[in-house]
Amino acid sequence: MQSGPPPAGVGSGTGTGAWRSLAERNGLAAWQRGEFAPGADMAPDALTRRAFLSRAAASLALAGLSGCIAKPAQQIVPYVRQPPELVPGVAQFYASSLVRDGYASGILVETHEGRPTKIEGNPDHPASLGSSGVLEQAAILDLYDPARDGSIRSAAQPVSWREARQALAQAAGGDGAGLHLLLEPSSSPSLALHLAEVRERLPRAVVHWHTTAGHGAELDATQRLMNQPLLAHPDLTHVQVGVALGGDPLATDRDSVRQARAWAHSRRDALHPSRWYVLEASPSCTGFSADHRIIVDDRFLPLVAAALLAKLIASVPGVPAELHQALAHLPPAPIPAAHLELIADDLRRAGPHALVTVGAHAPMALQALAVALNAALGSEQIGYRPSVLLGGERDGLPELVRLLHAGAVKQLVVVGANPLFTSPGDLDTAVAFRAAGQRFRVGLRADETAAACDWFIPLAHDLESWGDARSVDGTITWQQPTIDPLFAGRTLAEILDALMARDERPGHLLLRERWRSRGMGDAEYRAAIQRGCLVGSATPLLRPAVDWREAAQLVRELSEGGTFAAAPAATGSWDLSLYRDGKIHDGRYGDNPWLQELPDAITKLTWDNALLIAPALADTLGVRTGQLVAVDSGATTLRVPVLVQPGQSPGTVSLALGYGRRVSRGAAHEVGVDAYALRTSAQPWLVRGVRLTVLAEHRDLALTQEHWAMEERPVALSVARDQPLPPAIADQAHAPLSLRPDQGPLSSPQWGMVVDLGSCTGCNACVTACQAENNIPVVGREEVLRSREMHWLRVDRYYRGSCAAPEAISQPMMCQHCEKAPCEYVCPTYATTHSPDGLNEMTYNRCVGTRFCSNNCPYKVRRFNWFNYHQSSTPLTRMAMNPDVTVRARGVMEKCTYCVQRIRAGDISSRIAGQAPGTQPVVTACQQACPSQAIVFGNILDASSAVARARASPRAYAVLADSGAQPRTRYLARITNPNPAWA
Amino acid sequence: MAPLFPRWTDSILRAVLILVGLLVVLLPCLAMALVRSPYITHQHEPIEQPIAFDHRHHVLDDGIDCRFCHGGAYRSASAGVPATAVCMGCHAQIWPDSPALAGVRESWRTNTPIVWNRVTTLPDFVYFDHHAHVNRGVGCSECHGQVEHMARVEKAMPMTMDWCLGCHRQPAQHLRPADRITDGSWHPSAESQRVLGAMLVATMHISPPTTCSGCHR
Repeated sequence: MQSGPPPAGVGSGTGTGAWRSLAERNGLAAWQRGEFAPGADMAPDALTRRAFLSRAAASLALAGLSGCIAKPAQQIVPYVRQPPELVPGVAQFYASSLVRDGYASGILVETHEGRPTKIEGNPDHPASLGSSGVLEQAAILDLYDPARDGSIRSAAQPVSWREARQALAQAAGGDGAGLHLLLEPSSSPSLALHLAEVRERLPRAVVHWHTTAGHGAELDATQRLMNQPLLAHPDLTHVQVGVALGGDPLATDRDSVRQARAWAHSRRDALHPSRWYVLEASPSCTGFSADHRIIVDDRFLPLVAAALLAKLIASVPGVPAELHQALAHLPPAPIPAAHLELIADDLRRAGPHALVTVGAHAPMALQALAVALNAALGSEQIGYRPSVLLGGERDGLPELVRLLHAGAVKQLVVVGANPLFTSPGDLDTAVAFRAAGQRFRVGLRADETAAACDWFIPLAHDLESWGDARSVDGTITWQQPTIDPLFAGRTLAEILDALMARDERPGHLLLRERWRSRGMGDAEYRAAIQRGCLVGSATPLLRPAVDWREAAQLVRELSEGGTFAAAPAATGSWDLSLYRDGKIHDGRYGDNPWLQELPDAITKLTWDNALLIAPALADTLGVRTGQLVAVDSGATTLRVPVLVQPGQSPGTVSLALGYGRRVSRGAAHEVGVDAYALRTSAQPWLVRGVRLTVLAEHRDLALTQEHWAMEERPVALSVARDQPLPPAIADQAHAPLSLRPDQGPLSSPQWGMVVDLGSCTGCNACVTACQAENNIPVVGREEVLRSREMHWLRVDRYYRGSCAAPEAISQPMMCQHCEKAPCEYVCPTYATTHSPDGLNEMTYNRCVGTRFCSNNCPYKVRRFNWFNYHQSSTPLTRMAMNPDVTVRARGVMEKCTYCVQRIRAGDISSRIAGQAPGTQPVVTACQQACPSQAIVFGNILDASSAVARARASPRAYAVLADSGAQPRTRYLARITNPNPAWA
Repeated sequence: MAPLFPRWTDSILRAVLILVGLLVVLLPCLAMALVRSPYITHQHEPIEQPIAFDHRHHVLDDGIDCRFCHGGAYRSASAGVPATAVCMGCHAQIWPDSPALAGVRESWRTNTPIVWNRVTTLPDFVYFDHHAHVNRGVGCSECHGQVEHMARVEKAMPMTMDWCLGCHRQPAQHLRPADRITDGSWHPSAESQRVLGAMLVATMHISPPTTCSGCHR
């Protein structure tokens, strides 16, 4: 699909100057390919269209007869004893929780006929307030994963649960001598009680905790400065000036759902909208949502923090002279002094409304300096709480490996986690494991750890278990199963009971008993389980004073230890930043195809991980995206494809952990590169001094950002607060002339949607929610390379400015439900029509697949089923489907429907209640999930509705309004709040 | 020069053209009529069931309301068929040893559901909602016929889209008051139905969807 020379304006900086990718900015092939990559319409076995048609002529002629044949006979199978609370066809919602890194997220699970189909946030839970993130939305598919293992095995032979219990009891022996347990960090109050019983019954058993992200540094920092080990709990709701030194509180750090909502609230504040400065090496959602993003290598962040502290303590009473002295002789920070001064001034002016945050994985030095900064500011936006986690401070794996080598481990029981994959590269865990006498692995899947163990016992998924946990703020959250264990999974409580040779007890009785022993009555317990959380159980927020003398001592130690040394890295070496991306976390979600196919929020990469490098570094090395480089950390070398990432620091390269699984029966098989090999116990997050060698090989990276190229038009508007609104908004006051007649008087309801670009962080929760709600298939890496991904809702990310330090804006793009939809009048079979309430409808059974509608769509939001993506579905994977939405077959066009199944259900409820249709509120899946509540939906004719008020905002505009399509979906231009004195 | 074809071939040509023209019109018409005929829709074909349940006895003789067994009809999109427990609620005491009910007792004893054969079905791409109809004035017999007079249940109506749209466009002809939904003796005259239907449409604000997404999602 070659075309003529590029049109004027591409890459020349006219229009808004926005550009989608480096190739587009440099005027290269991105636009030339048009919508679909070459060969996008070809079947993978290279059958040309002409050949196909000539062979299919006869079958096409006969195809119409399929409508004449009645479907085969069906059966109806009722219950034998129908549960009284269950009406088949009516969804039931249960409050439960999902646990990650030991913390619970409060969720509601929508179940149909006894199987969970969708997860929503629990509106009663303070950590979610009804929203949910990417990983919560995708958890449904983990439950129905065919790669999960369901048989108990000993030495590859299937055995019964009774034999397994006997083996576990035997392993524990009389007093647990030689028994070592490796668990994941947990905040469960019941587990704490249970482990106390284990310690009493098996006093010589040892429990180790394995985590890929210990928070020990944070505890050390607060212990040092506040004399007690505490974790920081910032609250972004009323922040006026915020500085983030690394980290990604809005998308991937802990409690991100609550933080995103709080941050969005602070942006919308009319009197004092917040201003955020983010200093980071690698782009993140938080960084691109900031008013000022400053590129600083991670190793310089303590120096920047110290420089800021030096400026701020001048006005703080009671700070000893030692601290002034210790901070007096810092080397210059790697950002312009004027900028540092402006940031310090801004923070000082905001005082109690200022906040300094750091990433959860920041080293102790940075954590301590942040504590000191917040104390110096007198910030009221941060509090501290003791940790509610058992384990999780430091990774217990090195200690376990040491004991294994010493021969002290006779019986090893590993529950959850996947230590043989997630252990740092310098720890030869596989060899160490062989030293244990007997190894039990309790896990969801037959993974690397299971391959090294004698026994495998399936673990119950969170959605199949009774339990409890605490959310980040300490709120006790219950977990109730919504389905019987599909793979005969056992919970940790059952394993511990087996070790203690106790009689088997059902999980719900166990849990009930634990809470009865803590004095909770029956009625209170039932109410708490139904609600999902115990309101008011958050641990108290503390604000202890900082010991400034200790702070001075610490700064002196850090100074002498070289932490603030601004020495550049040796030439030819870089810092390697390892991170857990927002998709597969530490690797545990690698088998989840939804998450593998979800485009990364920043890189838009699917089915892979890649080494992110700065454009300047790419030029220096002479590499292009997709080219392989060898990353040498001194101990290991890894071959990784490169991805040129605008906004990346030239001194740092980044690689996501969790890919490159060696043993996987699911989606994770042979996807990406294993970055744990480069990780060491001493340098878990930042590996200094790696060398890069360019290789000749190339790997096609399945990026979605260069597909669906939109020409340079003002589609995602962003303007600074003190500037006038872009003229594009005013230009839209007059609808363009159209040949199509106007609709005439409209009756209520008329559905519409508004997306606030100022609140959107680009986290992709909406994309995953839409996929879960609407049975959207996964197409795989090869098809993504051909631009055939099926997401109805995509988040486009536009850059603006220089390659090295661009601004970026994320824009969720879905069917705009145009009032004068260009797709409707080109369909030869009337498969897409307009409803009286404003929806652009899609009737799958009428569609014959001409794809003319997609051709005509100015927004390119229509997706075509090139293949029967569901033909390999099994009864297990079909359980994940939403029964209220058609499952589409090959040859059919599909697109966002404004969740028409929810709209119609709302209509029916309204009518049955005797109200006008549209009275009952309708919430779309994307709107319900969005943590920052950027999406608003409702009846635009109801002047009091949120959507009508949002449409009336002066910031509201339609994308590509000059096409005459008159979209129902409007966007609110982002208003940034830059510092007026910033040059 | 002599004509190639004798004159009688003209008649053949004309006859063939007329025949083809008729076929082009008639064959699709026949096909369309066939699809709507009971041959394809299986209307009025009583369906064999694993247990010979006779609605005449339970409804006419015993006076059991439709909703007692088909409880989903007014609460959910799917009306469903009764769980074995519903049958056993009576038949644990009434005719507890009847051989005709052996299948029910077996299901109860072994906790295995009874597998009924579906009579009235719609394609998978149609989303029909029972309680939207039952709660808004559409009687059971409007779509399912006089089930209380059926020994074995049969599909009473063609269940084609055209037939559904007929009511959706003219609901007044098919509505009845809320307390007569399950009444088998509801047979108003055409005139009273016209008056009553118009009144019901007006007071209950009946506006059935006729747009595609009303039923196709």
